Amino acid sequence: MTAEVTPSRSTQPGSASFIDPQALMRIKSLQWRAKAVVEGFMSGLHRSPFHGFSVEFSEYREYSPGDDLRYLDWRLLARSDRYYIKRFEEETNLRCYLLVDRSRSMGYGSLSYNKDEYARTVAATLAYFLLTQRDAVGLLTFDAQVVDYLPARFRPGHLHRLMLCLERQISGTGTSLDVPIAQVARTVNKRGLVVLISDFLAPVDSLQKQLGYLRSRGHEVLLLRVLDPREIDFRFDDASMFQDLESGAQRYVDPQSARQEYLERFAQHARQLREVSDHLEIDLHQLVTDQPLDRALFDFLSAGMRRKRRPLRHAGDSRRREVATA
Amino acid sequence: MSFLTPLYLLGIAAVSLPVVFHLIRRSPQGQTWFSSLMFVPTSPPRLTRRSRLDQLLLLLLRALALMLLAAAFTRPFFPQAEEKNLYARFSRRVAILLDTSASMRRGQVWQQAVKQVEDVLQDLQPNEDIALYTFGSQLRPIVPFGDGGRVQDLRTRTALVRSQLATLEPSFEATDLGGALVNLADAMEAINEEDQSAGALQIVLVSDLQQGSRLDALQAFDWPAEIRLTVLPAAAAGGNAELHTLMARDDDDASFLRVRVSNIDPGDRQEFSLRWKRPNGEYTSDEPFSVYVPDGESRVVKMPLPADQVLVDRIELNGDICEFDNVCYINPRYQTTSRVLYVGSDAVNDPQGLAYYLERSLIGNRWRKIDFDSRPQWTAEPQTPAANKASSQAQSADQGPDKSGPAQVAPLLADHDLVVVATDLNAEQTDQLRRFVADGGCVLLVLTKPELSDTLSRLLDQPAVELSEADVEDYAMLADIDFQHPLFAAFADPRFSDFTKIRFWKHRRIDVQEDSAVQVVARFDNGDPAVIESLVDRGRIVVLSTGWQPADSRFALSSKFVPWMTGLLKDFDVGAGKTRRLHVGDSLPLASEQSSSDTNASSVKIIKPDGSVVPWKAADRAFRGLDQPGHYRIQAGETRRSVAVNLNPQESDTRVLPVEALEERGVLLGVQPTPKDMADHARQMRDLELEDRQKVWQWIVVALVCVLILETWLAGRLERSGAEVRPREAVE
Repeated sequence: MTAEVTPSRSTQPGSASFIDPQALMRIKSLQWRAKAVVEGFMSGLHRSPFHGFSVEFSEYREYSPGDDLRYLDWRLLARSDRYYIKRFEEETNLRCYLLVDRSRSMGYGSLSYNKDEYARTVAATLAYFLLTQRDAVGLLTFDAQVVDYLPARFRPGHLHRLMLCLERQISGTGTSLDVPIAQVARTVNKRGLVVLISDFLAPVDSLQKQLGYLRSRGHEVLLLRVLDPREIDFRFDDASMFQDLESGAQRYVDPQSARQEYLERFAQHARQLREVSDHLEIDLHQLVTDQPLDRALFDFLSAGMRRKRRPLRHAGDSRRREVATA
Repeated sequence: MSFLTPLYLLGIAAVSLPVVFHLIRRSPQGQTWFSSLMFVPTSPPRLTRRSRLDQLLLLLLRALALMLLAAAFTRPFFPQAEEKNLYARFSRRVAILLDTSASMRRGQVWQQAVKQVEDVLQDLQPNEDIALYTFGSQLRPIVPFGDGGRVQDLRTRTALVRSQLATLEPSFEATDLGGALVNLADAMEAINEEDQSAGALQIVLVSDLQQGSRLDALQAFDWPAEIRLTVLPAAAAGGNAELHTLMARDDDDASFLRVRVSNIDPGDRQEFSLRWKRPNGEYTSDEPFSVYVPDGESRVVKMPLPADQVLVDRIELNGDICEFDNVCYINPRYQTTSRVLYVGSDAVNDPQGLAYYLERSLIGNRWRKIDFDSRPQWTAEPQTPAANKASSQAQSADQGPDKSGPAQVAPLLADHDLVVVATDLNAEQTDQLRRFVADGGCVLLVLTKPELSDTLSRLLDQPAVELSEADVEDYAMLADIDFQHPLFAAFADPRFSDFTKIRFWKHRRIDVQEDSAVQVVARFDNGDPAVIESLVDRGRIVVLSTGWQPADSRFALSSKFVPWMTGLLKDFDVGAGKTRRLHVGDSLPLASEQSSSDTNASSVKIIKPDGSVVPWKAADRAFRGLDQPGHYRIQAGETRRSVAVNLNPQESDTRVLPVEALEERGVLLGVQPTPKDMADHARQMRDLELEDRQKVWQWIVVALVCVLILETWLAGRLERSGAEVRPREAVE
């Protein structure tokens, strides 16, 4: 079967500033890919609103009236009788967890690269971007089980470790979204941002429960759905044996006759997913692998802006709102 | 139409394969990997139009080409007539050689052998001739081949063999396998030479192939190349132990008997016991005598004689699996009496005389008693008391030959075995002596003085023998001794052949003419005859030209004297002291009966162990009907004696003889082709020839080429027409 050459969206008018994903994917190093995407953005769009102590000492500054006395270096004052303020590296309170689906179904791709490669690049881009913004980034890769887990950190070398984890080859079989979400909900106590990058080709029933649980712990959740163009339009020429990448099951399919039904089922599943995200006030973005990656970053940041505009949710908030709406 | 290689016809089946493959519903070839089939519905497979046959004519042409190719490979030809005569041209002669020796009596061996023969009979084909031979110690034709090589109706022959087979049973004979094979091969070769169309010759040997079989006849035999031997073994499980008695030594006392027990074919038994049996078959009251014999070994044991002087005639071996050879028959031994008469003037107690030494030299033993009688002069009238004679007759009634000979022999001499003469005898006396000798007696004439020349000449029946005192300077020695002669055979060994120590002071010179009857056995060192022997009918006259008394020589004092004198006696006594061991199949010498019953031959009867009575013809020197083990009683007039006949010890060696042993001796093993095989082979050769002549396959190949050309033309045409149609379709 030859892949049908569909016009890339990057070539569409109005998106000339984005990087062609075909070209981007030729870069072998994930970190360089991420860098290439992020460099296109100006830094500082996102700044931590919090200041305070940090483990990382930065500099001394002479005290001027009005400065917070908490930061006065009392030991120095005792020794030298001079007033100095200790300045620390800024520490953000944003902890971002990237949940990346590494199941077999992600290995599908009708283009020169597959969904997994795209998803990893997205994850790497976000991680790079966030770390540039001095935010703590954690990573959890999963298939049917949790494969790798890196807690959210902001440390030198953390980016490298993240990249190493992402560069591992996929080995899993099925997809289980419940396990990673439950894992994050269980282990991460501080509130943060959870970015779930997956194709969501799994039943959505239990997803609602798990995501609701995550939301109830005060986490912000962003769903990035990575799909191949063929999965959306189901354009195949010849009848053949279709084989499931995850289960290995075979099914004889004539695309001509099956296309309509496929599209209906697919749309229904997407609808259900949308309903879940809307219900839980979760941002859901669909990333098609022939779209530029910066668009994903764009979506992420726009979601971040919206998030900032929203009051910070607490566990009790939603409940209060539900009571109010009732 | 026939085919040389019809198997190639299977190649025609290959024609169907393309059609079958074409008609098989093709499963979808492509395989598409997809991320998940959760949204993908199943579509029912569609049949494509490929399953229809479009180019039927082309297919047929190609199928025809394949069929022609297969047909060419089968090498077809057109057969000719005269099919039926072919089979009749070939024949085979099968001789079944069935072992009927004693070892076939073991367990189920005989039944197996009969079954093997039945199987051979079953497998016979028409045009085969069958014969049945049996063998033990010799070959016996039971159903020999038909005369003149004319092959009889197989069914008749088979029925005949079957009926004869039913009457057969194993004998007690030894196994002379080599002799039987040689004789049978000779017989079959002779038939083959008589009848050139006899065909293949096959011997089927049905035997237990025991190691005791004699094969020596095969050694010098050139096995005929046209005869093949097949061996159908009839095996028996378990081992076999053997029992036989040994010759008693002279120093053995009378309390035991030497017996050898051999566990020659090891089975699972190693413990055996021996028991005495009476003539009526009952055990004696003695305890069984147990013997332990390890596998493959043999033990010689001294078996105690039965207590209380019970008469026994056999020993039975218990504990052995095979029972056919477990009884050993023995000859009851009796004491015999040899009577020696000395005729001379000297007294028995005179150390200067001959009788003194003679009496002391003749020593009896346990089995032989010697009666010595000395007389100063010979008289025609008998002087021996009648009672003495009667008692000696009673003692030898059961065994030794009856000495109540013809009336011409003087009753005095008739009892004696050896007469030693050292005095003058008149004509009548010498005449009586000669009759005595002719009747089997032995006379030793000791020439103590030259005056005995008359006696000598009369005794030797020579006109005038000159006898004179020899002139001996110092002493004479025995120099030229014929050690081959029975008189001196005992001294033939170099350890005993030194006679130089015996010095003869005096001897008499005999001027005798040597002829066929008179022979000089030993001479003195000066060339004078010392010992002369003259054979008269069945007896002998020995003349010693010197004496053994101290005045003549030191012969009596030498160690050679006693054996020499006993030798005289023993030689006469052959057959009475030590009886030869007799086995089944041996001939029983009946010399004594023959001599005693010349006039009344019909009175000699031999009673076999099973009680049957066989009359014996006096013309035969020996009786050859020893066909079963046991005691044979021989009745000659009033004299009766009994001899024990046992199985041949070789027969007990039941270890299996490898078939290779026959092959090593030049026997050609193998199976001759049956008439059917030969006819098939001949038919095949003829077919090959026919096919080679007709060469039908070449025409088929020509047809094949034509078909291929047609197919190529048709395919090309269809291709062109198809190509023309397609653009039109495309335009449409």
